[in-house]
Amino acid sequence: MNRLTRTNYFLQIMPLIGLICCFSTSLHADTTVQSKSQLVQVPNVVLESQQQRIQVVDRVTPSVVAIYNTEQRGGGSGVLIDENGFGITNYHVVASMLRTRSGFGGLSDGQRYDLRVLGIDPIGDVAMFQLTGRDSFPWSMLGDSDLVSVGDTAIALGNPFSLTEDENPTLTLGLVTGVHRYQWGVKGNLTYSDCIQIDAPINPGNSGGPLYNESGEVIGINGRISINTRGRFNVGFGYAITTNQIRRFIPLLRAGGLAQHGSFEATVQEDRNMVVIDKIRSAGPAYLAGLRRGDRILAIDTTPVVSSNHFVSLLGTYPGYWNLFVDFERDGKSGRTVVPLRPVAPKLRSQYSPDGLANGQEVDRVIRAFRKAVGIKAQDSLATKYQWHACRTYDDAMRSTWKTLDAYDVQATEEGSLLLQEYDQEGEPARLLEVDAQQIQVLDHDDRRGSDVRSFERRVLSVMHLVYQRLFQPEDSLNSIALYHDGANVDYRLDDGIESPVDMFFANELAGVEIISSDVEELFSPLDKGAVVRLAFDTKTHELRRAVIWHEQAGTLGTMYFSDYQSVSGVRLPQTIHVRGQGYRYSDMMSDWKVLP
Amino acid sequence: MKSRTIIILLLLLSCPWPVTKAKAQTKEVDSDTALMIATQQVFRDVAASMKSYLVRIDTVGGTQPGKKLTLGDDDEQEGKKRLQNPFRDTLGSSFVIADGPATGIVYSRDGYILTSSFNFAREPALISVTLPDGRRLAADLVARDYVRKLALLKVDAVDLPLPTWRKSEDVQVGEWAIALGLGFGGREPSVTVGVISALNRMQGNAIQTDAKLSPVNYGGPVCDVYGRVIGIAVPMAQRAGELAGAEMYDCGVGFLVPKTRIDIIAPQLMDGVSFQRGWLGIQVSSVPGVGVVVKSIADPSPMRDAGALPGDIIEAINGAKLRNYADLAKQIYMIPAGEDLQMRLSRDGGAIDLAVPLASAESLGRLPEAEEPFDPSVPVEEKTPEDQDQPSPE
Amino acid sequence: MTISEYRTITSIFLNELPNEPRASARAEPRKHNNHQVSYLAVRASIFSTIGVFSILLTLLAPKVHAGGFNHAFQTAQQRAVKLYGLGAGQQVGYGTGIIASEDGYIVTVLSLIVSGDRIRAVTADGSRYEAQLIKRDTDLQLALLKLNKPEDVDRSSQEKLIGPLPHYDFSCQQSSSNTCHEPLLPGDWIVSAGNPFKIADGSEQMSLAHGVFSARTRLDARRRSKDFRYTGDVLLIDAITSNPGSPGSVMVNLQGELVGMIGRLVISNRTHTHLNYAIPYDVLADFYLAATQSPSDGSGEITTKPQVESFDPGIRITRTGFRTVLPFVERVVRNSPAQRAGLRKDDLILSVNDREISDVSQFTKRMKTRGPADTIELVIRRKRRILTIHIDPPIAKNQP
Repeated sequence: MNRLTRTNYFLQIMPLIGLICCFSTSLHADTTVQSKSQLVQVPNVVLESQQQRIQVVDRVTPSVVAIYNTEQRGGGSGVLIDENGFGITNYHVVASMLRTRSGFGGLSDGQRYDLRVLGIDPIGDVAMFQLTGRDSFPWSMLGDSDLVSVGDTAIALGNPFSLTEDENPTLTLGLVTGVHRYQWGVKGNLTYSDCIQIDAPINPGNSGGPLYNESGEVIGINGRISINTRGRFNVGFGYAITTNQIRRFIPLLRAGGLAQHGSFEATVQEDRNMVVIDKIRSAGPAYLAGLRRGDRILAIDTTPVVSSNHFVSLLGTYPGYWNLFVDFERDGKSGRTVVPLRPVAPKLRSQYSPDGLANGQEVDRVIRAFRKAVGIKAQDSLATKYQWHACRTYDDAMRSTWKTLDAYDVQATEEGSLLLQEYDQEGEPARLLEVDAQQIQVLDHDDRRGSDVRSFERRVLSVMHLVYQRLFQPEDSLNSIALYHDGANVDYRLDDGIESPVDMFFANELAGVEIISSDVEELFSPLDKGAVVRLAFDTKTHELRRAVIWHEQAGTLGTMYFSDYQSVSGVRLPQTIHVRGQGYRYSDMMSDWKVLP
Repeated sequence: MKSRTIIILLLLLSCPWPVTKAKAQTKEVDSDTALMIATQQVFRDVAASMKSYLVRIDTVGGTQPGKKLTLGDDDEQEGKKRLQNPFRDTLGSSFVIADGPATGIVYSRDGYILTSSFNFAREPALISVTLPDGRRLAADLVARDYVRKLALLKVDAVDLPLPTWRKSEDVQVGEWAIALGLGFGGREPSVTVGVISALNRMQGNAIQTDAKLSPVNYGGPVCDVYGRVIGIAVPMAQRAGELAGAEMYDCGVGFLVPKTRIDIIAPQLMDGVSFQRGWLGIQVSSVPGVGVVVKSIADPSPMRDAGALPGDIIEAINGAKLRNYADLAKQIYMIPAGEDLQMRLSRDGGAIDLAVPLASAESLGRLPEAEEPFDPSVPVEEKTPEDQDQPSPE
Repeated sequence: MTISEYRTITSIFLNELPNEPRASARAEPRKHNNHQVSYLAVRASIFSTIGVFSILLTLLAPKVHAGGFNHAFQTAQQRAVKLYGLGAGQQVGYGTGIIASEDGYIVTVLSLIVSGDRIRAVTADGSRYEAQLIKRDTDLQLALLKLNKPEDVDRSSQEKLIGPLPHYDFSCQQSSSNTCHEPLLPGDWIVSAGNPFKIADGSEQMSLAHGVFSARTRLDARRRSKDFRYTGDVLLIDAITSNPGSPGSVMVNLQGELVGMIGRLVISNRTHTHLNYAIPYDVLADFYLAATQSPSDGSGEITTKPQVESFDPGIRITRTGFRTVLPFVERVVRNSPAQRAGLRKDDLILSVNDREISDVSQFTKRMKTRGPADTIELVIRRKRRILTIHIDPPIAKNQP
């Protein structure tokens, strides 16, 4: 899982050789201080470690935020995580600011900046905000909280008791005193799942502030403490939400959304130190993914599950829709399946309306990145200028491989609709259909010869068209398209038809995909209402990776995997599309693109 | 991490001292443990070296200051504000001073002892000081700084050894802070360790640390790794009251007065002149959307002399804009009597700039209590389900 | 009832939000419906090459936390048990205990847990045991427990079921050998393992707490003796351990050697301040050895109260009503030990045997409860001088 992070360590060693030389020259730097005889002799190893800590604190301090409401009253802390002023804090810190979405954020330069509250995750007690008023903001690197273990150094920064007068935060130092802790929520919200326990002093006002590891990477957000009869003072028990949990929610929170957590829709119990499925809902995602009562859960997302508490705790860190990889064992055989978690909406006292402005900006950003990645210029309109030929090379029902089966000619029309010419296996033209954003209309004779596969493909290609049409619009007309940013998900690849998760966490970002959704319910009647197509863009390459047709009740109806991007008339487009139904391998298609002059 | 391991290993190789030290103590240690052992040796050494400068202070008699903290102000608007304050139940203090010795530090060769005024809040009848060499002497309380919570004692002694002080400007956030106290009695100081949390707290009067500070070491030194005194541990809070801040004992938020601030006030204290905060002599209320409104003005008072009228809105003090009562309190409570405030009032839409000299509490007419910021009510004890595990009545 | 059901809210948020219990946090199945959506075959999978690579990399990767605090903590938490007191089907308390022998003797503090009907103990591997109270010492506020068979093992089984458990050895006496642990000095790191707020459950790791050893002292310099019955030495620490469930926690030094056990919660009656301390190893060892060597007398009580043969030094101070009166000497009995030592009328007594006193009642109490010391050491103030006076006991008349 942390393969890449680990390799990074090896890379880090390289510049160290240079550093060591510097250190050795400073070895006797303290002799001048020690010349006074009554002073304590301090070994260099102690001075170096102290100096290292001072430098780390000095480096991260500018990114720590003291959060104030519109009346400039203090209440919490936060931390900036990118140069555009995006920051994270606790939901409970901004809960009272949601009506206006505004407040102030103080930085160690002594200034208070305008703060806008973006998305919230009430269940996980996380919220996102953005500061404005500077070209570029200092920010902290997010670390990999899976690497945290008991006994590690814990560095907390924040604004306890609103003590700061110059917006400089308070540093408190301690150790990680527990990992994989679980702290109950309040009516389903504010649940601290798989959290980090620390003994660095955390007091009222530290809420939302960052927890750093020894090297100054954020490993968590401090949000709650245990108290005894003394009152609301630190007694050595602080809890921090892990950054790896937060990272899964960040893209949605940036887009101003209301985060939903994922439900497995099955309970587990412990049976002789094994975690086994107890009750499972028959239409729930775990069941649909093939899990059954009595199955032993070995690992989720490749993290071994050690107890039922651990399982519940781990599960609480995933958003709804997340494709959770579950390793299980049944009758002595192990297997892996993907459970797309069902979203559970948080209960809120008042209606939360997602931040449309922030969402539109994020949609815009993702689509622009995609267009740039595949080579479409800002004012290009490809929407009416492309055609392609697709043929099926694999048919699950026919048990045959790599043989040309049914084929299609797909062409965009001037009006923005799509003409779909179908061919049969002999290459003879079959039906001609016209598809627009609203419906599929059969233009030619309506024979019933088409298989289920064909009917599925027809829908899929129609969806494809809608997708491309929207992505190929000139950029200035993007805003008019009803798309919304839907957060992030794990990216996975197909290995011989089997999905495998791709490592999630690189140095500072989620190596998954960002999802943009569009309503496509008409195409999928009679399943009708609630069908959306969710486009997944790679967060690193910005290429379109998947289009998932998702239905609120039935879950995933079909998935298209796009790969083999090749340049056609200067635009890079996917030449291979793998089409999958609900776990069913429908077809793999080769597509032959043309961009019309 | 690997990087650190390598650095430390190399350092160990190039620096024979800690290696031999570590080897003497354990058979086989990794670099992490070697660093910890070397660090604890430093803590030990600091504690041992400071023994020559620590004095134990014993007091006899006096009364608890208790009632002094109660607020007479019943401003309804402000009361509501306080209830909205998320930290309301941490600001109050029901702190009672326990019996027991206190800590001080030798400040001059000829017998001045620096400590915290907290230790004398009971106004004791008698004070005695046990010097590092074991001599026990009667001491006089020379003067107190009620803002920085310092006190200066004098004993008849000469040629006392002086500790080394740390230059305040060099103190860095993140460095070790080692606090020493004699509050548990005996000759050996108790040691608590933390780091410097922040500089420039309490209007520059304090450095903040997360070392556990409590009445056990109020008045005692907080040192760096070399055993140099960074400052004197005192209870402090953003509000007035002799015991204010003591309710935060041991919670990881503690304060020490750095050398620069001690140097400023020490000559005055040596002259026997105590330091008091100054007063405006007004009662105010904070009105949302309007600001800090003057309700009534004492007679005589600096505000009356400067020409302020009830109904004036205090917009800014010394250039800092005021939004509410807390802002006002923050601006003035650390400023001594006699010093001028630059104040901007707003009256009927027009701005008026005034220079107001703060007065001592004694020179005011009625209403001085109204400036007491925040709510020093008794904190609400939160009962946890684990209360059952308290000591049983055996 | 499983232990996980005992979980309660143990933490708060850091602002004004209400803190209400959550009904259930499990991923519960919603309304059961029988609508079957197409079954999909679960594809068996060989773990991909990624898995193999990551295992290799794990082996190659530097071992990040070989030592330091984690090593000491792991040693400690392997040798500690989570304790739960059960009475009338309810939990009456929880805490921590130290495993003192491989067959399951547990040293812990005297608390409500041990007065419950049943005591349940959970070892680091998650095994659950019934524990039985063997001895209690009300002066030291310590208790000795013995683990019985694990709960989930067939009780008819005749096998020896306990141990060998990892444990701390109490048989080494500080005085006779120095192999127990390095002498603890102020400033030394200490690490404790325990289950405050019962955060850990089953085989989950206990909570670590760390800090430095502050001082070894008696508590009476700062508190009224009525606060706490234990009068021996304590190890003061700067880790916060005055939390529910902390008492009985293992406290070790950096090398993982047992140096003490976190004592019962001590909250001053007067100042409501919490104290963080541990009972030193030598006190624990003495208790353990006495408790395991003396035959069980049914009552389970052992006392270590010293017999005090005190003498009258001849100091007379009267206490008037309930007023706090400074302890000025009113009269010194002629030819008394006090007079021989030079004590005079109007001397103000500041301390007795190095313990501060601030009023007459304290003086009276100190004189009553003073140890069997041969000499009484008084610090007095006479005008502006502070003097130390040693009062020697009279030569005993009935001595042979």
